[in-house]
Amino acid sequence: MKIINCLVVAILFLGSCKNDPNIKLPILGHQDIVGTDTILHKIPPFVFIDQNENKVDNNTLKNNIYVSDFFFMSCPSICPKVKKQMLRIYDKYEDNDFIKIVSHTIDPKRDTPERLKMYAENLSVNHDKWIFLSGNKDSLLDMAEEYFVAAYEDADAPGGFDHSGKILLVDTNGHIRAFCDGTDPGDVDDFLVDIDFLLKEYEIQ
Amino acid sequence: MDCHMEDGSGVEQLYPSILNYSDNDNLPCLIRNGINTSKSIVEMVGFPKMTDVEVNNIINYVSNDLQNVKHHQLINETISALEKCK
Repeated sequence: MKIINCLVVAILFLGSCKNDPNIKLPILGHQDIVGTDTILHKIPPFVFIDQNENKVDNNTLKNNIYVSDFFFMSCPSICPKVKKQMLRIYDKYEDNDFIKIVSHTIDPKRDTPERLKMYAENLSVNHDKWIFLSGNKDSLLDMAEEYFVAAYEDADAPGGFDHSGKILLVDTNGHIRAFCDGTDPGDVDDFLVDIDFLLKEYEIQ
Repeated sequence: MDCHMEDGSGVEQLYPSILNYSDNDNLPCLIRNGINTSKSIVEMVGFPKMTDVEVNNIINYVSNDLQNVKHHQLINETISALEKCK
């Protein structure tokens, strides 16, 4: 009976494309094998603070899927473009409380919660839905690595930091399920499709 | 156009749209020196190394190409404006 089920699933898998609800987004990142277990990459425990000075940690987001990026306010190059694309994502899912947006600053010294709050207000976004995190700089830069976003200080870089414009999609278990280049509107189009995929996964459960 | 976007539409109030900006007298100094007031949460960078001709080109580009407003900014107008803002 099990074999027949496997065959059916395999045939369904081979026979259909993106319209198949059984196809799920992969869990991205490196895997560790410990004994007979495969440990998949997960966002590690963190504690940061949002623009309204609320403490935000893994528990805060455990009932949401969220879209995340790393930026800093004095960034003159890619950040405006990425934020514009993030706004597209925000607008599309504005009424869906299940999905949140989480932006991390990599320059917490200048980007204090107070300034991040004004930044959020300038973007005219709901503060519960789009949270802007700051905290300890090293923790934030380390966290960027966990999201596979390159971010580091470089005095010669415009604004003093160099970082990529990747946008990531994280599920309720802290697994990264999709990503895109936030400076490329076409890539973000595909990312929006990925988000819909992940949302479907939760509908079926 | 990294900040105000390629079509000039900007990003909400953060990087305001420049499609309706018409204060051409102020524009040369704005481009060369940027703005850093307490009103704007993000500082607008200036371009101190930009030549007078380049500043002039930008003014013409914004008016004619982005705003579709016919405007011929002359280089000597730009130069005298720039001399006053230093």
